[in-house]
Amino acid sequence: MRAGLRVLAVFGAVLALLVACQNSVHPAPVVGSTYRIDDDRPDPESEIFLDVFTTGDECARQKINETTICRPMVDRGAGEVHLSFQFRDRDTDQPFFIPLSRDQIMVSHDRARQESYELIPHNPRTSGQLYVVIIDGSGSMYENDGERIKKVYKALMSKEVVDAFFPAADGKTGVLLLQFSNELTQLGGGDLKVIQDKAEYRQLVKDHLLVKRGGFTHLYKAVREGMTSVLVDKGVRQFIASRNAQPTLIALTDGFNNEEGSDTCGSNVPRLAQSLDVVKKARRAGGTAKPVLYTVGLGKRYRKGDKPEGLNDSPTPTSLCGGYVNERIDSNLEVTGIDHVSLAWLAEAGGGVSFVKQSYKGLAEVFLTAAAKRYEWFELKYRVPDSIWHRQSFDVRISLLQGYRSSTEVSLHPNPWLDAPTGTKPPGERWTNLTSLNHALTVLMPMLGILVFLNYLGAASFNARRAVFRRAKPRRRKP
Amino acid sequence: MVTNCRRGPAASSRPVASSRLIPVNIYLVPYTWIRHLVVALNVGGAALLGWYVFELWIVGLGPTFHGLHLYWNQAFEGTMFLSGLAGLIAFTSVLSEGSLRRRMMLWRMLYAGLAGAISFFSTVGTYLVFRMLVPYMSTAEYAEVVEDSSLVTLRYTLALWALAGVMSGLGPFVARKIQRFAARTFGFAVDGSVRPVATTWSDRFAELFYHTGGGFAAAVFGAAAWQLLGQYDKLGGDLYLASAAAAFIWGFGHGLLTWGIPDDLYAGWIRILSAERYGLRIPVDRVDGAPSERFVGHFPRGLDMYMPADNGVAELHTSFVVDRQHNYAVRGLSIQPTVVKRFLEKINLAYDARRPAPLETQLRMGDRIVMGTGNDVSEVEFLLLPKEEM
Repeated sequence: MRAGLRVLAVFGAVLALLVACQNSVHPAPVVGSTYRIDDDRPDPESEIFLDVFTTGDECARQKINETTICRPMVDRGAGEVHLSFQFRDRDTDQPFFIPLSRDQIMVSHDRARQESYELIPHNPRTSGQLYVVIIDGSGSMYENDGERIKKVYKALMSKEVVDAFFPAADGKTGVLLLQFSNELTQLGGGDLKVIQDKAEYRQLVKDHLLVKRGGFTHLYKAVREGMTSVLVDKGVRQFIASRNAQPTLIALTDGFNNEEGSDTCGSNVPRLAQSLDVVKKARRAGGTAKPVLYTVGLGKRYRKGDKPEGLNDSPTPTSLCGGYVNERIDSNLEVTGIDHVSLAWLAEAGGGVSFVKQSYKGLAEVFLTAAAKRYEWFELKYRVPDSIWHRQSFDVRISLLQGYRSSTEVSLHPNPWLDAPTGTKPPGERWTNLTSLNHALTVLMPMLGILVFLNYLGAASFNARRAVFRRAKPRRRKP
Repeated sequence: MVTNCRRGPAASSRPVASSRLIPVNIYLVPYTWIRHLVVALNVGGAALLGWYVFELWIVGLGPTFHGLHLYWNQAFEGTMFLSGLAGLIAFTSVLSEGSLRRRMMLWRMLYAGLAGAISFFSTVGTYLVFRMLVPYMSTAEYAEVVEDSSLVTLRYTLALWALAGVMSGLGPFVARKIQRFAARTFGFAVDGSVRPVATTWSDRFAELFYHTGGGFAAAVFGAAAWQLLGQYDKLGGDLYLASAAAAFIWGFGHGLLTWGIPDDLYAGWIRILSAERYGLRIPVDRVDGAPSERFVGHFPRGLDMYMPADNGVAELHTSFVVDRQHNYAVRGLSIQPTVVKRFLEKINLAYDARRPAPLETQLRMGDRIVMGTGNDVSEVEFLLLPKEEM
């Protein structure tokens, strides 16, 4: 008896060891599948953390009610992965709302870039936004009967742009209209004032934008001041603080940074480097209200070639100017076109995007992009070309291509033996829906029914055969 | 009309039939081709049920139990899946035998549990040892890939399937040997009234081969189905139905190949088909399995089965014999016509005085034996029925 108990105890211990219950949260089971998912690993170099929701609990902690679409979903048969994510400030760990569209992210599955994916934003942000529009007021903008400034005027006054700047009359959104040549000032002069009303905005643009001004183009200085002193101005600071507003700067120019008549393209190299440092510093210090800088060139590029790849590279004469290092800007390069390379450098440091547009419609698109809605969290669905990619552990990397430096990697581990019921794709739908586990009963029960039937079939056919061949019925007696 | 059916000395000396002595439970398993499939269907069904339990556990309950820290580590999923199925298949196989033999519930569950436990733990052991060896079976650059516990591969798991199959046969083999040894030596859980006799080494080897080889083949077929359905998109392309098919085929194959319903669970019967005394039947076998011979004729005393003389039956017309190996035969003992009829075949067994011995032929289930000629004809049939009927 005692020996038997010992054997049982050993068996129990072995079983417990073997079963080896997992004590950590990750890798967590992916609900509705046989997969497991590791915790996400944000890139430490990220400006903001891209936080992938790996469990329903994580969704609940962020007070996201749509748990069923927030938590991960995988279907091996279709080769689909659905993940949800949110951006978070790397210092305060607070949610960080940004506008994001499909073309602004890159999804890779085991280092293979995916093309078939969809980004679905959820919960539009209702907190405030501050748009700081910095318009070039140098003489070149008013040349040719004000051709360029009129394009800006038409863009700023278009209904779509006005609606984007003031989406709702809740007082949470404001616009700061600034103009620069030698100095950065409020459009029309005076103290800085955040405009919160469409009519006031239209009136200000109408009254002051087309008024001819002149002077050099202190673009870098305007950007520096826009990112720093403007945002700490008392009225502006109060607006940002009271509405938890996100500052978005849109710097618009038609030429080069040109501070003196003798400036060459090469003269701008140290100035640009200094400005980039200021912009980066402003964004690091911004907390959850990190200013984002968009730059817009009105015209055409002055030379072929773009800014070299690489986020942390400092500008050099060659990288900034190409073969035009010693070329004078005033009445020379600025006539040729726009310093698109400088603009790209500034926008990249400012977490925004740089555009070169020639028409007022193009300008309006830029304003609309900058004023795009921000969302609380995003749902990402992607499909690999072949489900064979789901036959071993794989890493999913989501990277932002513009706006902010941010990327995250998360590992998924498929079960190598079993799958959950295969998902179904409703007609006309692009993505697969999970199939309930009850489907397994629709496989099991008919099969068991058939097996039971076959069990009886032998006896039934035996009796039937005997009945047919009159073995089960007495023959007639002889007369 | 004489209606009594007297039995010969051998028959009358038999022990009285009772459920204790004649434990068979196969009313629904006639002696037809289906008997080869019944155990397979049961084991296959149990394996399919096992698959559903795994689905339920992993997909349905896993996330909840994970939150309670009662969910196994992912590295154990393969171990538990194969070992669980091997254990369940072994358990069901021995349980089916216990049910057919109407073993006492305690012994029935004990031996089935023993078989299941042996298969489960031996599969776990071999699985873990094999997984440790897998990295050495690949080149250095693929070591990381093959060590991935999520890798879906037949190449590196075929041996695991095969080992699990062998272990699923080993458990029932060991449990059956222990049961037979205990029954023979100590009289525990004796099936029927007679303790089993010792088997020869060749019999033991053959039995081991059927069990392990059958388990091996069944599991490999299951693995093939798993690979086919899981690999090719046109057949599903995921492991949902693939794993279900694998479990069922493994179980079905195991039931088909390792242990079939043995002939000793059936007994031969002679049953009258003629109008006179229609339906009367007597068993050919003895309860203790010894060879026996039953006589049919109209001699009124001492024969096993009496049939009226005016229906063409001679005093001592035919006899039905069975040997230890359960081979049945019928002998024609009279010069009166005696014909065995079966599908597309007639065998004349009338006694030929020029021959030194009566004619006889092997009997098959459902054979009809026609005695007499013209209007004076009697007919009996040969049936194999569950021994429980005796």
